[in-house]
Amino acid sequence: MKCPKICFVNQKGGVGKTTSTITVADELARRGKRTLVVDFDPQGQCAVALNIPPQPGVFKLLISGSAPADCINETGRPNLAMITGDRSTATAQIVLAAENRPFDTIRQALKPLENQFDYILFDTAPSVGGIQERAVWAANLIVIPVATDYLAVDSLGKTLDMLTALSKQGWQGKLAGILPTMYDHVTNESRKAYSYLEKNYPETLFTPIRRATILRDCIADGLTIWQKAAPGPVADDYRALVDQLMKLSRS
Amino acid sequence: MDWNRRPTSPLAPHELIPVAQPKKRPAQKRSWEQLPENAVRRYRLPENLYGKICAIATLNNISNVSHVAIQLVDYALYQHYQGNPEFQLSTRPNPQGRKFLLAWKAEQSNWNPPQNKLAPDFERGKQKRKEKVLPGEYGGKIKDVGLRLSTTRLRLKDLADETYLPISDTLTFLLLKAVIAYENGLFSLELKQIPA
Ligand SMILES: Nc1ncnc2c1ncn2[C@@H]1O[C@H](COP(=O)(O)OP(=O)(O)OP(=O)(O)O)[C@@H](O)[C@H]1O
Ligand SMILES: [Mg+2]
Repeated sequence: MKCPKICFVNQKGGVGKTTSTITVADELARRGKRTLVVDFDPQGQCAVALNIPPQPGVFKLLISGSAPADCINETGRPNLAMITGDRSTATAQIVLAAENRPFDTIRQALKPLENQFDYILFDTAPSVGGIQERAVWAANLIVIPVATDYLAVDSLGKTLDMLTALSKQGWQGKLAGILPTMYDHVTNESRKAYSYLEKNYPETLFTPIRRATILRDCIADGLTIWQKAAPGPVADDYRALVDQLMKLSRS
Repeated sequence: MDWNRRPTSPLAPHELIPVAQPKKRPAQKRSWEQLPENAVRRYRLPENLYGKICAIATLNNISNVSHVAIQLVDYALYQHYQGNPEFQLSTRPNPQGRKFLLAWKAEQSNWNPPQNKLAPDFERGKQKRKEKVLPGEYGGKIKDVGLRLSTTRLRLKDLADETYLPISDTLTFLLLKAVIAYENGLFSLELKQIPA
């Protein structure tokens, strides 16, 4: 598919959406793919994670009607660009809802960028309301990061319900898979959560990303795992994910 | 904590949501495709050389690039064993490898390939392939190409073994020389009906 758009979504917070988006995006860029990250989270953490200032990129794109190319920020990394988010994204969300903008608002807004990039990745906020659905609608592939703990797995159903509802309404994208994160084989909870996922979602499960404190250090330092701890176990896990996503993007 | 307490939905997500599947390789069902000698083998060829072979195939209305490659290699092998000086491979030892390197031209034979790092380069994940740099005509990008060279592959392999060259380098040399001969009009390709 041309310029696949991959959306990381889960209504639950702190499950590794931002971490996964940034890590996958940076690896794609390092493999020579022109990659754009769009941060639909008002927390603006994609920018923070890459050590660039959060700016109202998404607001400019969706509300101010700026040309898409003018909303893009450089990240200082080759092949990697970003449309940042910040508090104004929350305002954008309200405006979208108030004006009752169509589902494909985001899809249309990003269309002019398809020739410019090989991959577009979306990070989303841990909530529902307007932007998430439109981001999913714009995406070809959905990755649902799920922390391997009880509450995170419990909330997975809600995200799947949203996808089900959207696909009934004619959403054209596909679920790439559920991504277990923060997997820690020594804890019972992690193992049970993983086997629960394995049992209930066998067709749609990625290999898990292990828990690693180094990922937290990376964010604090504004680096990605590829700069800080590759080779290493988590880097291997994420590399396998990138391989899979590239394979799925080819179909 | 009781994982069994969680309700399990009667429908798995892949029954409700379309799930992305990796693209499948087309099945190789035709009987000739399944013969061991007709298996696809991967060779590392210069991209521009491969492009030229594809162009020859297109110009001659030959849909299968492998057929063209076979003809080119057969021609080059014939010339080689006839003793045509253009088709003799000159080689020199490779300081980094077991196999030899092609020495393309006399003036380049004292050319020194860059030393490979001793420790594998893990930085970019996959270990980089050992660079087999060949100067001169070789230039440009190298591409992994799948070809069915049929029994010609065995003769190609014999030559590679005789010269201590990697098979891809041997193939590159033969194809290149044959393409040049073809471009100079020394031979042409002709389509023939295979009797049923
Ligand atoms: N595999 C992991 N091992 C250990 N810590 C992790 C792992 N993945 C993410 N983290 C840490 O967990 C925290 C939350 O991760 P992240 O911000 O990526 O989640 P999120 O889903 O984007 O959160 P939010 O919903 O608030 O946007 C971060 O501090 C991050 O460094
Ligand atoms: Mg986040």
